[in-house]
Amino acid sequence: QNHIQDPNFDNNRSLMGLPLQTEERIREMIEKEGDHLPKDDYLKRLRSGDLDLRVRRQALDWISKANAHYRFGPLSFSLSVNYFDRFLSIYELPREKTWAVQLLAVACLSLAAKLEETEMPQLVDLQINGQVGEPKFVFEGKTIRRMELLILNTLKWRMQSCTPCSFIDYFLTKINDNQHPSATSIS
Amino acid sequence: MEKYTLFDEIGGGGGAYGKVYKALDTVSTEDVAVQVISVELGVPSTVTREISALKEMHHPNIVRLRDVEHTENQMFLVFEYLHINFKEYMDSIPDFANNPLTIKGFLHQILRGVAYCHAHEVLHRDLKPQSLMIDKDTNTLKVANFGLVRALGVPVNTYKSEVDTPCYRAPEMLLGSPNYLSSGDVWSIGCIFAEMVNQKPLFRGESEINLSKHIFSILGTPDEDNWPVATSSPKPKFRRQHPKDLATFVPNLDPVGVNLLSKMICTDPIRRITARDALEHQYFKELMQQVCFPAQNS
Repeated sequence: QNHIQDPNFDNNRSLMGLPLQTEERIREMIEKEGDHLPKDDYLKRLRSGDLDLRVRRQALDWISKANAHYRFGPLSFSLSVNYFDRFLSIYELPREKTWAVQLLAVACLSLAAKLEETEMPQLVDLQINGQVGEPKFVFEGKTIRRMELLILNTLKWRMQSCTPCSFIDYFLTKINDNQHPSATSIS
Repeated sequence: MEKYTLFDEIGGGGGAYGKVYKALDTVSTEDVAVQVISVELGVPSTVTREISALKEMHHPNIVRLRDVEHTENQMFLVFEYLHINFKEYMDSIPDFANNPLTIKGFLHQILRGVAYCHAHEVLHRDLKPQSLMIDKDTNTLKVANFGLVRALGVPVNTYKSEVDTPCYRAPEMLLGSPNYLSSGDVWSIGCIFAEMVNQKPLFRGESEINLSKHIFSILGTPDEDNWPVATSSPKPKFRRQHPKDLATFVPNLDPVGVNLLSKMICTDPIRRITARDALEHQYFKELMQQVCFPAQNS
């Protein structure tokens, strides 16, 4: 192939100056993705009504709004959802306590922001300002921190999940004739 | 924590956010290092990032996190026990710099560990001799102190205040680049390389500006075309200086070594060598032969 080489731009580097994801790394990521997925029967349980799909949708809706409100990146959102689903698939939250799912959503977003964001609002603010419409429950910082620990333990501290975001770079490069996509096409 | 018996505090981990103790794993009877962190105000984001990064990385040149335990108020990170950090190790061996093969071996180990991190989209961001640990039994070097790591998926912001060791910081960071790239880690390794040879840091300066001045006094002030940071903010004024002969600053390093060093501390982060490419450099040729054919050398 006769690509004209621009000496100032190395095609083997991605935007972050990291080596471009190789086939080998992608294979490893696909394997690893399995460690970062909800338990196998999760979808079935949601469909059968064993877990309430409506409650999940509300929680995700809240996460999405709070995520946008604080201008967190797309990765924070997809990590939050990943933690939320993984946790629900292995941990039995008390059914009668409707606040529990909301607490889970807040703690998942807080954890995702800890991993991905440079600036974090106060935990209490995270709920109030993110709450669009009716603020049903507002939790104390201490309660959220305890929930965070429960999530971290339940998920065995595997918080650096492979999410769909992890693969975007690779597939964009693939469909772009193996040229690394420009920054604008990603954002 | 009944599983572990804590002994003396050790400074070895250089833990910025918690004391490190030598301890005994009473089940396996192995020595371990336990870092105790207060979580009264919640699990710090640095700790969350460090643990989740280490959970995904398994490499002989990266410190192994064995276990994570916690009580209501404290967290315990259980690491494999490593004797001393690389700074202490170098200080303990007076003729360290006189053995080029030793330097080569350690540099290669640092690069292997960091290249693995970079392949896993993890940047260390605080590489210095104190954040590298040595297993004295095997002379294995392991990259530790992942407190400032950042897993990547999207461009990141810097954490200027968190990075408190300016001597190993790349010029683009000193001059306020908004992004920390993997090239920043390579610069730090270059500085460690020079320190192994000289037994003292190559670049010094109390402030970021003084450190930048010192760097440019040796490597030359970048001109408009190859300024390390592309920002719209006004560039600080530096006296125009021409690059000096790097070899005179590392008199004990052979020309091939100087060539590798110059590529690792290239002021332009875009043209700086990657950790992976550095591993393939001619400088390590001798080492590779020894690894492949140990019998011939013994």
